[in-house]
Amino acid sequence: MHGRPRKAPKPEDLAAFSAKAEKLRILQSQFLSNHHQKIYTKEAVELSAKLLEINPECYTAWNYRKLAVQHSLFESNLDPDAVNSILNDELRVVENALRQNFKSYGAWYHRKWVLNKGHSSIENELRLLDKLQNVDPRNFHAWNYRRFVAALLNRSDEDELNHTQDLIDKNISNYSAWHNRSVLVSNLMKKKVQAFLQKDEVLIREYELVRDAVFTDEDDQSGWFYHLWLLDQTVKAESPLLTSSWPAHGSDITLSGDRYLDLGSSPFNTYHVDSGSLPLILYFNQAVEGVNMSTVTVSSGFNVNKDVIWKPILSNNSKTAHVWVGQLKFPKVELDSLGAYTLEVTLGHSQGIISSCGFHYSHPSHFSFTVHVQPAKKEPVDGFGSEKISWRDENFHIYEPDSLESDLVLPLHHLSIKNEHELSDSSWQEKIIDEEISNFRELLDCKIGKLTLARLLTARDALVSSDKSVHSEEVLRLYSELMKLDPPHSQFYKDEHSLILFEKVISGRESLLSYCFRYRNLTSSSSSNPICLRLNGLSLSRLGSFEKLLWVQMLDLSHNELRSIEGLEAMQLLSHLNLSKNKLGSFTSLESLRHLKSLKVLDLSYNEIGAHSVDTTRYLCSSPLCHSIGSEWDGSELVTDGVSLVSYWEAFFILKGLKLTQLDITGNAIADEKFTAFLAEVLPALKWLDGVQLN
Amino acid sequence: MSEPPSYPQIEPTTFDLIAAGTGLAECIVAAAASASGKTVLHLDTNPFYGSHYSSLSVPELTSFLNSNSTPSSPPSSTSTTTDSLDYSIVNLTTQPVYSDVEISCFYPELLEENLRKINLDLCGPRVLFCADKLIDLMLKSGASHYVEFKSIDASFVGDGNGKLWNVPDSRAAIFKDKSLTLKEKNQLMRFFKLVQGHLVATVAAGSSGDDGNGNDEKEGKTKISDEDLERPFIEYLSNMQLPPKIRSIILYAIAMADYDQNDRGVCQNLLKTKDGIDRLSLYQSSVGKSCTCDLYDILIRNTYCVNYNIILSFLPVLNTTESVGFTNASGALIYPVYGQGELPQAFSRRSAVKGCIYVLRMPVTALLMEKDSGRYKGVRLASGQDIFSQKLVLDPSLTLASPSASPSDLLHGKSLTF
Repeated sequence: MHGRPRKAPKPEDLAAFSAKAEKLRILQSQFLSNHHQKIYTKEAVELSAKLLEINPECYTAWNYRKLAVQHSLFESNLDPDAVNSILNDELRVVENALRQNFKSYGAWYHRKWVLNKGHSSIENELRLLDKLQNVDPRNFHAWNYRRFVAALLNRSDEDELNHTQDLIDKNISNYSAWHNRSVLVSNLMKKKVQAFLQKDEVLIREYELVRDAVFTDEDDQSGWFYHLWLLDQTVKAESPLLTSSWPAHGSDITLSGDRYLDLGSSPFNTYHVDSGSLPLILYFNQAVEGVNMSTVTVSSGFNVNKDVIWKPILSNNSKTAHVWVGQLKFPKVELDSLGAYTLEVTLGHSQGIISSCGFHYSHPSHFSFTVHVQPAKKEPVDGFGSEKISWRDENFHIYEPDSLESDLVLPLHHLSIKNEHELSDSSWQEKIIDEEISNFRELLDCKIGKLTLARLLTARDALVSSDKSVHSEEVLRLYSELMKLDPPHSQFYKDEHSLILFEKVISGRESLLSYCFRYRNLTSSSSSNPICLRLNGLSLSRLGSFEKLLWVQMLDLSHNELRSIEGLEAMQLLSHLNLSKNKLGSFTSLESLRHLKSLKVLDLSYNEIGAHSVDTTRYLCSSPLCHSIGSEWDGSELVTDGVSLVSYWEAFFILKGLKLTQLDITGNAIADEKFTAFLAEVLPALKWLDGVQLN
Repeated sequence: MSEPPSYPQIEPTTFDLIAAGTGLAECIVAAAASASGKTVLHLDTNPFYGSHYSSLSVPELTSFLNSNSTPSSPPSSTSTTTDSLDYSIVNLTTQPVYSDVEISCFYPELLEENLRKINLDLCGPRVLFCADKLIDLMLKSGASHYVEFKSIDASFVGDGNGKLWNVPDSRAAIFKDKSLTLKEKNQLMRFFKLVQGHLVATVAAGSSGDDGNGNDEKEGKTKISDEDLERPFIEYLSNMQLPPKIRSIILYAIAMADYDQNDRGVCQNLLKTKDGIDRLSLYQSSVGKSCTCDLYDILIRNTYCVNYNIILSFLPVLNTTESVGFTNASGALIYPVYGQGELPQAFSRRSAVKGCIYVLRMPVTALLMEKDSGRYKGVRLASGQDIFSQKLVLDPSLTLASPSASPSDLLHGKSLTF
């Protein structure tokens, strides 16, 4: 039960307790001797019942009873009457034990065991459950058992759904009932039960119910969660889809071996190939597994190795990933001669790509792009890579595309993969969400009203395939109001605000171009440096919309309020990253960096790394103790040259696999002499550390 | 009463208290007095208990209305007689409570058929809040042993067009209600929360000795301003932007306002916000109250009682009691099974147990007044017997024949102390 204060026991209670304990001890020892001697007489079994009625937590006694039941079932020669009476006895003992403590694991388990013997009836069990759920409607033992009984005895999901309705009618704050309802509704829709065939009708009914709850008491959170779940059901695409790719569909990629040539092509689409391979990046709308040579076909008119090895970019320990990268190997011969090749990528033609929820990639997708190979005129020298990058404003010049190039900018953020699903009708979703939007406009004077409206508007914008986020201004305003209205959760609203702002900034050609700069150092002779996307000083606290930024190689996120860079691992082409003057609190919050294998230049200066004694992100980050990274962590490396890796294991873990040539760490609490020595050790390719050239 | 009935002689002739009339107030006083060990004589002109608080069958009602619509003629023989005793006789008359009584029956057959099923409350049906002080009093005095209650299952408010609206009086009821719009649900529940917040803040201010200047920000509970509390409740509700439908639900079905609060012509004394909030608070505590074991005692006994009361109401609120089960005890309102008349009867039974003497069909004709001091010292009964007591309580319909003193003076002048 909830909200019951604990009272100090009175002296007479204490006396009663000790008397009870004495009695229990005697019972217990008698019972144990019976158990050891395998005595299953009527008296001995009765004794165990007596013990369990006083102390239902005595697991041994439950197990003893199971043995006794088996014994007597054997003795009874399976005479139906005898079997019935034996099992009825067990049910009675469990019921008495539950009366003593309705949250006794042993008792509930024992009942399940009896039921698995095919005993009892659904009426009987539901009667017991109703009694117990009356006492505590959120007793999770009872709920678990209810689901077990319903499944075992084939009670229909509709009946169970009506039961949740009854409980919600009694008290709308019954989380357990709402939760069970979501499970049951999903089941009924999946099974395509009559009246649950039309997804939109089901959802409309459920929206009506939860709307009543939210409007009746806007402070009650159980309804919020159900509404959020419904919204997810409304907009969620079941089967996984390819959201974007690099190279994008229809794009012309210039593959250059030489960094010093002004190729005259769009800097957006120039990729310097050092390793002789071109990365192919696939971004899915949900985490998937099963991306491999048989599920993704790459075909071209020339002699590249089409056996692409696909690797997931794992953000956590699961096997599924949003982002998959394949390396397209170009033979040396091809790279040495000028030429243009068209590559075609097809996926979804055969089953095998499966989302984490178990849905198959069922809509064949296809995209193609052209690669122009620009052979290197001379051997690559230590050029761009070794040059010190200064992120100062005067080194950046707004990018002004000429008319020819401007066409090339478009496909960067506008992926036009032909997905056949787009033919399917999404108007019912729009209708439902429009209805919800108009309802929640009535509830704008409280935080859940604003928050829900913001979520609905965002979902509405996402349904429209175009880049125009019609409601983004309104959503941003709602989140700003929420920050003021509900200061304890302002960080959450700020993050949501940041996501919307981020998307707004990078969506739309005009807007995106105004953040695109060219890096031109005074000393630099190069004019073919990649485009730098400068999203500095926007007070961003969270990043998103990575599917539109797969092309970015140089990114400036300085002067923001980032605490985490979660999701950044999708930007696989990133070679230059500026994260200075943010609120990053630890190396563990930079875990995404581990996956950015192209990263050369990294600025982490003026953050809060090492400033917080408690690193809350540490528990989200995989640790050297966890199995998944065991192979990467070599114990022998733990101590090198007297620098203890143990104290810097997070930094080691994040930076070890990177080939950084330039790193700025100054202005962080962690950055002392010992640490810089450690960095020089861990990053042998490092040429510049905090602006100082290393030997 | 045309033929002088044979009246019993009453022994003894001196009591600590004489109460004339068995209305609710007189019965409570009598019960209290006898419970504290006083000797009490309780008289009533009628052959039944309850006076104007009783519940009567239709024939009883007609005769009661007829007999109470004409002033009783004072017994002329004794009116001016002054005895040689040390006290004088002050005659009493009964003020008619009803006037212009006209009784007609629209469906005689139907009435005939259901005659035994109908009891009518003389003072109009009044439901009781579970948390009403009267309930506490009944439990404390033991009068609760003699009355059975039913919980009210549902309340309705009638609008001007004769349509009945369900009264959603709790969060669950608001959630389930199909007639309210989303906005109305929100408004009504918010108002309940506002009242709840006010009550919490008031209690907090009271316990902390704070003067309670309006806000208790850290708790998020805000008191309603004193200025608002003094305003008419209906005005306050309108200021809270509550639509008329919700206003009438709150006013008539929850705060149980008696008169049309919109019409100052009918009702000069509008319910103040302060009192309205108190009523809501009473209602709210009533909803929870039925779980407490005391009341549970009362209610649980009702579950076996299958009896139908048809309550006719002239108020815009119609309360129905239908099948009564254990779960219905969650309602905020209860009603005596056999009608309002049960209440005075319960108290009088309690006082009888404690030794109070009851004499029905015994009118009081006059008061006895000490000549020297001018104090009342007893009553003269219709039987002619004089009974003495220093303390008298009279039914409000009894008035002095002489204009020198009114019964209210009598009651106030000799306030009862126990």
